[in-house]
Amino acid sequence: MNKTSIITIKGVSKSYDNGLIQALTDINLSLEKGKIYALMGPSGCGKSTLLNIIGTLDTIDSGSILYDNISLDKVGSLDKFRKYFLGFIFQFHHLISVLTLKENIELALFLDKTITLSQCEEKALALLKEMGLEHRMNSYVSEISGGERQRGAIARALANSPALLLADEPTGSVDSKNTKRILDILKEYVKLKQRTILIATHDPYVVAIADVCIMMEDGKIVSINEEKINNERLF
Amino acid sequence: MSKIVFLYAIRNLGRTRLRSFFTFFSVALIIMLYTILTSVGNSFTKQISTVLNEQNIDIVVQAKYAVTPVSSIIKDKTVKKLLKIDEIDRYDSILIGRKRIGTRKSTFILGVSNFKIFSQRLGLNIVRGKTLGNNDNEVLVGVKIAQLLNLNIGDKFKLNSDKDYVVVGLYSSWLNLLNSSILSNLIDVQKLLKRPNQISMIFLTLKDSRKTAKVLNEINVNFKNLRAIESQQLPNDLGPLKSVFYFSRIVSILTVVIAVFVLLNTFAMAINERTKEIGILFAIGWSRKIIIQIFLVEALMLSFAGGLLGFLFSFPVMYLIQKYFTNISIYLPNSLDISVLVNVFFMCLVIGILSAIFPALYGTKLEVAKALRDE
Repeated sequence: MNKTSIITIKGVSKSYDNGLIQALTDINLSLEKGKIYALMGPSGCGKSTLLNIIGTLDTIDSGSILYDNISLDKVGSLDKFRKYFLGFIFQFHHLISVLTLKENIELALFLDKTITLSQCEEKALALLKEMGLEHRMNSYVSEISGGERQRGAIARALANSPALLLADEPTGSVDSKNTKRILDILKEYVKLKQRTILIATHDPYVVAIADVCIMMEDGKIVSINEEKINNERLF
Repeated sequence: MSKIVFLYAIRNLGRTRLRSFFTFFSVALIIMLYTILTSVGNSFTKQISTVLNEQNIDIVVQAKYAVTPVSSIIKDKTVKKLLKIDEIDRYDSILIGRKRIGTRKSTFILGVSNFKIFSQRLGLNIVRGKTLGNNDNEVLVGVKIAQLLNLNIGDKFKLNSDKDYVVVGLYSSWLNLLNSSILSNLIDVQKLLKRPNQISMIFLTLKDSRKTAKVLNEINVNFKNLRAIESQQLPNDLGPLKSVFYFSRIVSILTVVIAVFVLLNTFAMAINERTKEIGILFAIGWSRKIIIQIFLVEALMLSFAGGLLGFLFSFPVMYLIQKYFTNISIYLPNSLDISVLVNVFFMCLVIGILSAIFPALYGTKLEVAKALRDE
């Protein structure tokens, strides 16, 4: 195992419906700190399942997952683990519709007992500013555009500065202008904070910024390409 | 708990505002019903207890098989025999009956052996006219019944087909029951009700209250037709009061059960509709405990807001009942009963917790990944 690995997956398999659907078969993967990983493959190949398993939102049938060399089986509270170490970005923003953009971010921040209420508010505002959404802080989800929603969702995911960001088609529902903006934010995050991002995607723009490209097929990893794909001209 | 949690709970109630409104309104109606019924039970018990406890009455005697004081018959000769018991210091008697007056089906007529003591004990206040004199066929009329029958000083009305009765005074009392009654001398009422030499109840004051048990035993053993009870027992012993009290208690329990089910239904639906949202909250690191707390806060907000409205609304409703339904009004309290408010508080707490905890426990026991895929 690499010394800089943040997550190490060993022989993980997952099936649904009492084994009728084999979602993942013998997955072995190691994610290093400070890198962007693009997880690619056709629909139904197991990308989302793998993200959910790494994100502790789903269980595994066999194998093991190590976070910073500690098995996730030994983590007492998975809620706390998700709160402090993981961030999620979904294809559809999944913001809470009854709350404003700022309140949605506070929803993730208030769990952190080390910061006060006013600090929580300040941090939410700073994140919104970073995303270019400060003018939308008091807007409800229904009042903002798709791109703004997705940037709001990213702000929420980054609220607790997670060590590992898991993104499931984060640019799947936004236009190219917003895609570029979102990817710039993610690149900046990895560069500045030395965090790791795993992005399930079909988007060539995402592949262009990725350090490693993982190809999946029928629940298996078929290739891991660590060579930087020269797609910068896409931008 | 953070401000954001409260804000989130309030907004959640607002997102299904129509449903929240109807739930809130149902809880308010239920609590109003509870407040009125509990007030009735408590008020009547309190009124009777106060009369007996504060006025040094030790023992109450009535006919053994009488279900209500109205049906209790004690003959004069029995009274004379009873008064031979040495420990008795003082006694008062009362005859209670009902009579049809005008269009009013049934009015309580009370004949008292010693009007002066009776009026002192019950805080009778002559608001107009004078007190009972020695003349026959004089009556005092309670303010409520006077208002209902439009009676004034000097008015004559027939209680019996042959005789006219004259209203010599109007009185008010803190005992609502009396305000809807007609009072006269014992002898007059005995004639009026055609129950000569009979009384309904005897109130005994002993020379030494510590001998109450002994005297009770003596009466109950030696007088086969009488039933003597300690004065504090009377509220529980009065047939109609017992019925009112038990009825109010049963309905109170039912109201809590109904309120729990109304809210339970609301929250079962709300939680079912928010499966995906629960999944998102789990994904951003919320624990099951905090998510359950959100639903509890929502339920408690609804139950307390509804409870408060229902409690406050019960007073104008009771006022209207007192104004227009004098038959029922005798059971209603004149002032706010704090003990009911305490009950309402605990009821709201129980309703809120019970209605949210089960759907919340069930709703948060989900597979997060599956919940996030839900459409």
